[in-house]
Amino acid sequence: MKNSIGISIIAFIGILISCFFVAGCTPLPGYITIDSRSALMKPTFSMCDDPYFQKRLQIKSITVKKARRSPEEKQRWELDASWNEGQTVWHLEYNVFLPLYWMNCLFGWQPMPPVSSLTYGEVPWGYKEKGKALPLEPEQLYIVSMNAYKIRSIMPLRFIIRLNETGDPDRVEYLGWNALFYDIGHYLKLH
Amino acid sequence: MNILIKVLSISIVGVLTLCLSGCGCLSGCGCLSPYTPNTVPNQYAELHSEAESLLYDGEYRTAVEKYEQAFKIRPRFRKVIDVSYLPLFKYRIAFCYAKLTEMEGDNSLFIKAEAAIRESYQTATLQTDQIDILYLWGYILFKQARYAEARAKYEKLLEIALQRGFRDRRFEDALSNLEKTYLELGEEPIAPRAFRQLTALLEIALTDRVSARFLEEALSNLGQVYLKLGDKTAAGRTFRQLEEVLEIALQSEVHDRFLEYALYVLGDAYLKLGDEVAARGIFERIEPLLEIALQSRVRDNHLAFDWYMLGEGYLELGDGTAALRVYRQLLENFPHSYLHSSFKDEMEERFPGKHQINEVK
Repeated sequence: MKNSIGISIIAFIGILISCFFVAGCTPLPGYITIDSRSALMKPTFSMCDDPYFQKRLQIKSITVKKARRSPEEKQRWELDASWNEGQTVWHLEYNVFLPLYWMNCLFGWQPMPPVSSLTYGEVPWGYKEKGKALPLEPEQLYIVSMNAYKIRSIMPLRFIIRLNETGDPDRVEYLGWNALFYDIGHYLKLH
Repeated sequence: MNILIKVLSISIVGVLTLCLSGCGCLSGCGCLSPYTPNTVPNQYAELHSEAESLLYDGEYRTAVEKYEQAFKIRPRFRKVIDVSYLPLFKYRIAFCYAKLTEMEGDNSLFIKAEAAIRESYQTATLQTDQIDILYLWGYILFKQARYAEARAKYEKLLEIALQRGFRDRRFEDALSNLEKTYLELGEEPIAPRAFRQLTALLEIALTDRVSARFLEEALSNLGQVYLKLGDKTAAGRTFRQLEEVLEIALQSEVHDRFLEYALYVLGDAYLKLGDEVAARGIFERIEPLLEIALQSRVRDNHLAFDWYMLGEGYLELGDGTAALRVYRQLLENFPHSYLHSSFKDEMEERFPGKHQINEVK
């Protein structure tokens, strides 16, 4: 009798563990980019699972924050500024049907979000704005984080909308993922 | 017992049925479509990706060929610009040529490496990129025995690093390489320009009694580097300067939220230098600041971490009583912090018999 109970419990726990194992717990890295055809004041973001931006992913959520920078930092540093806090200016999430969400949690199956690129302030069908999009301001530093299914942006993208001499928006400058500076530096030791 | 087995069996069957039926339904309505990414075939991306793999494999000649080909057909955007793209691309090319020269002994390739790194530097706008590029440039010049020119690059690197509070990982290596250039030139090492600038900035701050966070950061990081290099004299001098700067910050009306952590770093450094009295003096100044912060600031993870670090500091000092007092504050005041859950069990091991922190008032 005891054996039967033990076997049942082990089998049950085993199934549960297998489910979670199959689902996977560690998010894979994703790489964010801005579409080159974007409107300057309404950039279009996408996320890929490779740093060469070949394979676009269906986006689950996006958060855009405006970095708070002291005048000293603003003067000295730009896109490579350190920042710790920011004001959320836009937050959008795929509005998942709850039972499907639980299936997702249990088995790693997913209702696939419908879009692979999001334009700032636009809400595609199936998505819900958790934070209304505030107008973007030129010369401010913004930080973008995104999630796809089981994939999280490895490094938030930073961007600034630059003005030209006449004070009109001229270009979007951004800083994405540049791993190589970090990865190959150790080959450059002088002994 | 039978009931228990039945309940468990029914549960298993129930879960499996639910899952299978769910799977069937969802597959039927197309909701569980398999993962099919949008793939954009792109010759440029393929070349670029191949070049990267080759570089990591140490196949520098083939890698640089692929990079050069990819560079010729690269996308050129005018309105949406990745600011690191061009400098990074040229940096990779320069890196491949530099390593190739070392492997094959063909010094003529250094000319190509230098041309690429110069172009990389000219297009770099970010200080972080400039630091990495200058480091490689110095390396290329050093390998050609052009030590005076290499020294100039390292000097420039340190000046940029100073503006960033010496927090870049290349700072320490550049400092060490700079010394090597003096050795090779047979000259007495002199303080780098950046350090002279730091001293000047420090003097202004101390005279005008103005606190500057980047000065605190620079001195703190510089002191840590000296500790790592085993130069206790220089480390001690730097940390005493840091203490002077922090003293000004402590006397100002508005405290930077990082002040407590900066003080902790200083106390910890004094401990490493073997000055327990100075360390205790610093730790004892942190506690009242954290008490005030409890009343005036949001009780977030940053603040919890400051309490935690102070406890660790006391523990390192060998003052278990003070550490326990601080940890109690942490557990009582930050019940929702990640530190609370992860630290509570640890407390039982650290302080057996005194672990019921929440109950002690």
